[in-house]
Amino acid sequence: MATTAQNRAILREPAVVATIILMFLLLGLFILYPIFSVLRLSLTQQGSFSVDVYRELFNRPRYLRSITNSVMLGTVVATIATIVGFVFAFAIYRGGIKGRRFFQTMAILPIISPPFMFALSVILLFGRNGLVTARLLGLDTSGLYGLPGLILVQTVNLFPIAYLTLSGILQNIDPDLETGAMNLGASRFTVFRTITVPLAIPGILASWLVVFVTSMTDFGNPIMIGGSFDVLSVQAYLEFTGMGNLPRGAALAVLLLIPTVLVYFLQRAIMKRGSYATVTGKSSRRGRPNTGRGMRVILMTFCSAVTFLVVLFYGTIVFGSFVRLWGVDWSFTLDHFSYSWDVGFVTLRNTIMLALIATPLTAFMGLIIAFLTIRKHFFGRSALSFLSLLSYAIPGTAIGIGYVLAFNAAPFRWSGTAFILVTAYVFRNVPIAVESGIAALKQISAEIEESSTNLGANSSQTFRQVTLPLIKPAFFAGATFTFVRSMTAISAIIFLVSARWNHVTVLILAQTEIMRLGVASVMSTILIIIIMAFIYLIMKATGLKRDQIFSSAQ
Amino acid sequence: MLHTGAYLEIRGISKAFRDGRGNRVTAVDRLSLQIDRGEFVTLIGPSGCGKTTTLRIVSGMEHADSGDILLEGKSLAGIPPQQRNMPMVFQSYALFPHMTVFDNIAYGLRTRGMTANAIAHDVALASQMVDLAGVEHRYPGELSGGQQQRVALARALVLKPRIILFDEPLSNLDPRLRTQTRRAIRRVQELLGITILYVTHDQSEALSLSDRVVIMNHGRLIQEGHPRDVYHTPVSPFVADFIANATFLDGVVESADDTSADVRILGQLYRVSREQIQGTPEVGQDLLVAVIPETVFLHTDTGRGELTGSVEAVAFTGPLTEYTVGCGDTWITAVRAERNSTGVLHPLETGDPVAISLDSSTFRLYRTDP
Repeated sequence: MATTAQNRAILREPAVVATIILMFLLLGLFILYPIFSVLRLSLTQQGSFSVDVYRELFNRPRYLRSITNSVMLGTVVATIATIVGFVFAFAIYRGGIKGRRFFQTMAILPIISPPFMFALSVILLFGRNGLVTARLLGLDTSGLYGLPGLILVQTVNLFPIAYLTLSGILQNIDPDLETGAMNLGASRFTVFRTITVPLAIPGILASWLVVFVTSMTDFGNPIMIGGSFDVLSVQAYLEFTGMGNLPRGAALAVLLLIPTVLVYFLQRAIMKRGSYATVTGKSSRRGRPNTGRGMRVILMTFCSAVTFLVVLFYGTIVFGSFVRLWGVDWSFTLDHFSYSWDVGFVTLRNTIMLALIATPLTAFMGLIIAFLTIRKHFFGRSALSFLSLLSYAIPGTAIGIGYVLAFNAAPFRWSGTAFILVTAYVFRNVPIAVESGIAALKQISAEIEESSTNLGANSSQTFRQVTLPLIKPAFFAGATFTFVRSMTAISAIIFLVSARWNHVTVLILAQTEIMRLGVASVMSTILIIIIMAFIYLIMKATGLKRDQIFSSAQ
Repeated sequence: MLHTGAYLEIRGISKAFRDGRGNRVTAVDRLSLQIDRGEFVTLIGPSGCGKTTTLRIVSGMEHADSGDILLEGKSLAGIPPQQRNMPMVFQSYALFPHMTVFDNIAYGLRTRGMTANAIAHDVALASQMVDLAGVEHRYPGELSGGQQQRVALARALVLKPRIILFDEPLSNLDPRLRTQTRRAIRRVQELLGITILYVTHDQSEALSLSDRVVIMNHGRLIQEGHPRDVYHTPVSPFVADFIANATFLDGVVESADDTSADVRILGQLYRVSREQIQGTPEVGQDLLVAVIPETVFLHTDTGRGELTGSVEAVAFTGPLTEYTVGCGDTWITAVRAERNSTGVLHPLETGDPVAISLDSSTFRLYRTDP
């Protein structure tokens, strides 16, 4: 809480005051107002307040089922993905397995994939004409559509989130604690049970919650391989766009929104309270492996199996790019590339261009908000940080519907424009930039900035010469993630694309729906190559290491 | 007009913070202090006594709730920290990790818009002065703790300031380096005639460096003076304990006149002068007697001292050995060298009976009702 003296002090810096006001206006317009529009539409009937839409939803088994399905899917995937992520993190940072660097790479690879890419792989491998199901096993099955397929796909897709959170936590557990426990006579398993796991519990809970929310709000995978397994995000899209039932679509989005916002803030509270594991913070020191030989073999086998799955999924997509007609004609072809070029080039170029516009904007905005909330004292500071982080908790479906409702009429008639896509990218991703900026600023001790002042520099000199260079890694980490997420976005974007401004992910989805799997594979492959190239260029240009960029992913 | 008063004056400053629970905590309480040009003044006290806050208020990085800081008689209120030219050497050094040693040292000069040639000249001079020549192109992360410390010092010196502020600058160094750096700081200070305000919680650092020590507790000034005076005539049990590691014994006034008093301590009668006693002694009054360890003499020949006891603990520290001696139900700390001009003293061991004699002229006696 800023004191009156601090509020007065800030008034002497008009540029800062103007920036604060601008940030509030932007966040209000592009986050609060769309969400308000969704709520308003779902609660209005013929111009007056009504809960009829919700009453109807809860009285129809189909919608009730999509609620329970979403929760069930989230629960199962969160549990499995957290276990996989924990085992991976433990194997790499405490297990002493061989090939650490290789497994580190494999554990974060799925993060940079389009959200539905693994669903496409599963169709190719285990679908009706699947390589494994139909060709190798000779089964005539409807394939892995529905819950089993979704669990498989989302687990591979989302375990990196758990891995990143938990590897941070495990690295921050002072190895001396484990050595000390062993020194006091504890066996390896006792150390694991009484020291490692309890210290990791906040991280385990937090990653469970994040994966739960991400699974529930996922749109790309369920729409591709959900089959008859209805989930909220898909239902909301089908009602809103397919049936044109706007209030019902909005209401379904709200039902998705409520748990995600609650869970998001619960997760933040847990991470904040359970931070004793990160207090010692000597992450540079590596602990001795806390495993025996047998355990190391088990961990190695497990990690290898998961890695195999990841590689298999990627390989299938690449392979699928060159197969004439999957399941029927396995001959080699480059036709899919030329076709993709014809139907997809303009869309791909536009997607890249808009992502490149959104990227620096997001990173700058994130940095500015982080700087204001960490280094300046003013009335409404916590409201600013709350608002800027809020959109992370809002499902893409709700944002997409909100933007359609809010920016479809005067004074904000922006639907169908490139502008609306760029704002969606910026405000969907600004929380990541804010968080990485906050983390970076917290690491710069106040004394460093003070000593700059003390040596004679004014605030602008201090910011330019000391603060800015030191938060450069955070800036580029935020930028990288904005780019990746903008390139792979679908859940919000699918509501906002137009014939003029399409998005490559929407195009891939469309190709999949008409069973042009080869073309979908080509486009996915190209998308992944572009993303990898971008990350590589950022790392080359800035000298940042991979870990510095990915540490802000969670 | 020539200013005739103190060079730097701290005039009645107070500062309160809110703690985590929202309670007001007084960090500095009506503190006043005058510092002469070229003087080396050290603020010392336990953690939380307000010494660092005082330093930060002087630097301008913290604002006092009331009171004023004056330089040559002119108030510094309203002068922002970057214009005070009072560089501070931080406990963490606060070096800029992304700049080389050269750029760190040059930083302040650049903010002053000096030419590159002048900067190179001054940085070279400052580096030489603190023995950093040859590492100017390295980054702070590549330096030892002692070198980092000296970069922090050079970064301040290069500005040719009239005042340098030090906030526990040596606490991250190992003991050997600490002693060396202490000497270096003092040498440079005397050479350049810089005024220094120095904060530490290490008594030996304060005593060995300073022209004047200022003992603080709970935000207040408790005592100030030359290190030797403060050591030998602490004004309160707190100072006697904090600065001189005194042992406290109970005493009762048996008789008193205008110049001296007889006080019974551990059954023995000691004559002390009136100046050693806080307040006016009255017959029958209880007093707290501070005895500093090096004035407690131990004898193996039990016939020699006025008290007898037995050795309870022995701690050999090198030059001196510290003995804890039980005397009735009281423990007294004594230190002595294991050798003197007559040769090796017989080392005492735990359980040995000893005779004890005290030098009553070094006692300080305090009222038990403060």
